[in-house]
Amino acid sequence: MKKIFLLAIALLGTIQFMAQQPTTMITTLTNGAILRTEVSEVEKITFVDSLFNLNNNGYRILEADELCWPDDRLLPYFPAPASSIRSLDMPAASLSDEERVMFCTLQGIVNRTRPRIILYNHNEEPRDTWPTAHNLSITATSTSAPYTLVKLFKDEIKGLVLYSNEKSNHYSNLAVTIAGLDRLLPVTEGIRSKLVANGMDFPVVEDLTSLTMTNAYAIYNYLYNNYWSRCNHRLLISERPNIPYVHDIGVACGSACVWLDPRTSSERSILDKFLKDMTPGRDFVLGWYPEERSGVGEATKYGLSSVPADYFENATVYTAVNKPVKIPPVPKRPKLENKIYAAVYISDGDNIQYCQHAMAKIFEQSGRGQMAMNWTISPALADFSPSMLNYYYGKATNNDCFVSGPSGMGYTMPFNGLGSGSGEYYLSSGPKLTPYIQLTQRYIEKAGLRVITIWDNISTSQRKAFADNCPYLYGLTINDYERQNGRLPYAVQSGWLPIAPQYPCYRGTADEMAEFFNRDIKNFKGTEPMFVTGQADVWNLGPDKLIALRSKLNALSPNNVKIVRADHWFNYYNEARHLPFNITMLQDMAITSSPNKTSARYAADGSPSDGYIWISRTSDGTGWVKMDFKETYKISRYVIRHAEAAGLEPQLNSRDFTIETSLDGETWTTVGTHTGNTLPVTDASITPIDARYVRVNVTNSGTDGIVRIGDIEIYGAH
Amino acid sequence: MKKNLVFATLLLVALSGQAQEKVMNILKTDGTNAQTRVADMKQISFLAVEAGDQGLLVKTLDGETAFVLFESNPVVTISNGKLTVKPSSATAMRFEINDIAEILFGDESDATPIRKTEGFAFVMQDGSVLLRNIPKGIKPCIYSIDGRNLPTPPFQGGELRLSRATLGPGIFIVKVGTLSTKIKL
Repeated sequence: MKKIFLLAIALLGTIQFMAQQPTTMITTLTNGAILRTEVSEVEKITFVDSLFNLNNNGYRILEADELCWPDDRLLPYFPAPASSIRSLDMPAASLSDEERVMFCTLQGIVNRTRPRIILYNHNEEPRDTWPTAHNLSITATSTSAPYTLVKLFKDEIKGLVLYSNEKSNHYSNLAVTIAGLDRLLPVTEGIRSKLVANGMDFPVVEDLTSLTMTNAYAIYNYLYNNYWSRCNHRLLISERPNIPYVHDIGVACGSACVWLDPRTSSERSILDKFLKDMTPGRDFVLGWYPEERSGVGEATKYGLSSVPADYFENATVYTAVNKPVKIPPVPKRPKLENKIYAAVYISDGDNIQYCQHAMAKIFEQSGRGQMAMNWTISPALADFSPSMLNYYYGKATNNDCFVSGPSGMGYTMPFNGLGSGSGEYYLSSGPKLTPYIQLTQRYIEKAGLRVITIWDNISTSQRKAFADNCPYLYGLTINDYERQNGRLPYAVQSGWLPIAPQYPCYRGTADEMAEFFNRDIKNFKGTEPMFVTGQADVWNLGPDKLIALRSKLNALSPNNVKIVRADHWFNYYNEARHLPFNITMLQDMAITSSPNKTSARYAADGSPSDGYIWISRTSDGTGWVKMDFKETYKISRYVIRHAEAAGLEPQLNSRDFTIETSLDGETWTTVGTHTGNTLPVTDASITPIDARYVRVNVTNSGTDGIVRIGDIEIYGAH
Repeated sequence: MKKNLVFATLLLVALSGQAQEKVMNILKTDGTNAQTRVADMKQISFLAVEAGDQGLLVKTLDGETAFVLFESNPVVTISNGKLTVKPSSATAMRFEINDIAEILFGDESDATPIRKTEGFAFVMQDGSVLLRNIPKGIKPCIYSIDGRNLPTPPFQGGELRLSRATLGPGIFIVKVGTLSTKIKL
């Protein structure tokens, strides 16, 4: 979503916000994608003839450089999946690693034109979990004749890249890269023989077997010098050779595929050449590294994030099911008490292969739903698989809160808390991280994630960059590995953004979690609220074991510990410190509206999504929502999410509206007047004003005359 | 996307495994291009606030220009080789894609270079239609929906405004040179 540009003019004590949005051309595609182009940036539009190849079904075969890939998207828009998709169970077909690489490459080439192949490679979650969640119809390929799948799509293949792993298995990645660019299949001599035996004698277009390089440095340097200029620079695949998972999306996009270890200086020098050519805030690395911190850290140096995905499969299929994320309403919370507020996070959700596989199982464990648990999950899923996010949102209870895995849109590590001494910075300056933070803002908002778990820490300037560029946040957590003198302190950045150390930050037993929490709980006096937070290592401490923490903490301070959702926790935290917090989250709030088609509660339920929005009954373009907070707060900010934030057409965003406050519900003061709005979100800070009531009064709705309010947030303090 | 839709948008016949189709190319002021397959497009609309006299200009290869103000909320669709511009308050204009030279954004003055070479502007606004810079020697023809040739109201200075006041309510076909369009008054 576009950042809001508002011009505020002080006018007789109120503030008038005049829209400064440029005229925008909205191109809607048949798969639901919406492309925004500012009219002032257009020189002219022409229609040109494009010569293309047809497959045997009469479809245009898309090349890697013909994908629709707007700058504000992580991934290109793919055509919607075919009505019936061919599947192949690769383990059941007893395919070698090299064969799997070839099939995964075939999948990328074929699915680029239109998703028609799904490959099963990772038998962890139930087989039909994700095809069902994406409403796909699957036709299985016989595992005794897997090459029939190649035969089915052979007219979309131009030939072969012949390679051998004898000198180095990195030739596999080189072959895959070339294959994606030229619609070739990467094959060894043995696989070529199998193709011939199955009646497919493709020509060898590239023969890599005569190359003499023997190590990663030389092979990827060869790739860089000879093919990188033809590759897209937006998505770099970092995948262990012969691990055929994200090859499909890399091949479809025409990406380079590498496996370089930054701990080795020569390999780091090559990796840096690739990373240096990429654009922070737009581009990213997909896959994994030989070692976590050095790999993620190396990309971070260039302001680039890494989306861990080494075993994520079928990205080309799931990203093509283009649906808005359906963010569920946030439960209301009670008033702040002098209690101990604990937030418990579950690790590793930054890794989308974990979200696809292990998490699908762990989410079914007993214990989930019985106490508040905060599940890290990747905002990148908003592009990779919005239906996957919707799957988890659909299953979530009020006790399941989702937060962003480290450290926003993809894994970055500005500060390595386990580095030499008490830690080291991979990225010391704030400005270099700012494009990544702006990207993060867009994606956490798309995904509905209000808290980011930072690994491991960020500098003062980086904290400010988050506060300046990420208004969607309720708070950040950082990791306290106990490597410094004393505890990492809690902090509040820019007067509103709380930053809380996870203490413990990664523990595998409920006893350890309780022991860490007790270092604070034992000092609780009951005279003021206390806040503790910690992160469980999901591989050892899933919900079935984590639930034991509830009784352990209660035993430490009977009836005083409240284990709460992270979004509640940060709002409690700010409330306790007399800082602005979202008062529409309070249970006590009463809300009314008119004229109602849907219930008033939808106007401030924490969800902007379609199905949870307030809609007016009449079509005269007017309607209002009134909130009574039952006591007086100092109101300093309001956020209104319009129809587009719900995934509806931009033309339906409310155009003209006012925000009014009142102490008694009788006399109203206009604190904001908005005219000519076309943007999806209005986020305005105002001179703090005492009020018990707030009213949003729409005087000119979207183009159809019906008022739609996705969600309202009002920020106030005691 | 339905298979038949793809076929419908193929503009030239497939030959030997190859074919041609139209791609919309947006040339940006920074020199970059953004291309979208016509087959993938559903519609184009515009979000405009106080766009004033700014609008959409469709210039055809024979030198004519049609102009639609942004404030009339035009929606552009492409189907079966035809581009349709439908303002909310007026009847749609249709163009053969093969006849379109370029689409520009701006005010009427952006049509000037073409007007000097026999082009004219076709402005749809507030339910009326204004034909400007009608080339000398060309008389606009107006037809009723059932094909009757109606008298053309007097025009001067190359300008002709068609409204309910001049033609009465109804649907009409206006033809100027090789450009024709249907209007609703």
